Amino acid sequence: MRHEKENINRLIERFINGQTTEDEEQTLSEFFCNGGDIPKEWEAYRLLFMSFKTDAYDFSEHELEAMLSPVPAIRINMRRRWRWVSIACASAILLAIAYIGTTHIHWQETECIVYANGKRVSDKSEIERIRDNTIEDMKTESIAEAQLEEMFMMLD
Amino acid sequence: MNTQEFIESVESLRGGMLQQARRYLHDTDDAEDAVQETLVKLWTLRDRIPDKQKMRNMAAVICRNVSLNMIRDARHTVDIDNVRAMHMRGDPQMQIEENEDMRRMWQSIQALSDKQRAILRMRNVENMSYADISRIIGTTESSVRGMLSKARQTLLEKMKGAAE
Repeated sequence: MRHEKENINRLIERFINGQTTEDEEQTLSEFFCNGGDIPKEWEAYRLLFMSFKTDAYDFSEHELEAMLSPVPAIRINMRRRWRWVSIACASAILLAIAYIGTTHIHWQETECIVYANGKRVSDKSEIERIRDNTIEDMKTESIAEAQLEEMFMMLD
Repeated sequence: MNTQEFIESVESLRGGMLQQARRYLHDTDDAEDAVQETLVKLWTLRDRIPDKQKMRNMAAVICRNVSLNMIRDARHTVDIDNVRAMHMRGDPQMQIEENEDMRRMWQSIQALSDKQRAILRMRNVENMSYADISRIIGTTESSVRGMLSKARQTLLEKMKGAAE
């Protein structure tokens, strides 16, 4: 008896772990379902093996029909999606405005254009040269006066 | 459709089902699970399969359902209060419809996932060999043993939970 109990215990453990052979499962089934004296601690296993002799595992007609009936597709919440799209668009526009603003200001700050003798000059070293020449010319009073006279004559 | 015909048909459908499941689930392991569950369910429906073409259509519907349900993480459960009477087979001594323990067992079985219920049914009710089950669901025998182990443990846990 003790030997049988040890053997059944070992088989139960193997059964639960999915390690039993088909013959061992048959041994367990016969032990639990043939109405012998089953210890109380094995009541759950007795019920388990007895359940295999019932129709409890069968699928009802309704369940079988349900397997073959297409389930509704997963609906995407469009309102929520549009909210995220709107937020993304607004963020993109703000970033674009910020980017263009900063680069444009930078461009304005760094570009320098001078009109000298009717010619458009944008080269920095050329502008510096013209500036230095003009300052030099302004240092000579006579030239300044001559230029002023020339201007007034043109106005007359 | 007998077991051999079923296995042969399944082998030609498996690739398509895996592709279909992957489109929904974007994960190879999940897609593999979905295909196994599809095949287990298809096996339970084998009496309703008239021919190979119909089997292909049925497999596509089940595979889509299983994939969508996996996405929703929905699991089939029954209302514990809405328990139908259990019909016993075999020995008249076992016809104990009103037995509280067996009613709890029945409830626990119904609370298993379809896949677990179907695989326990294949092995322990229909007495199919591990080798045949693994060929039907297109996996290894060791994987089938793992699935059965999980199902048996889950069932015993549910029973203990129901008893408390």
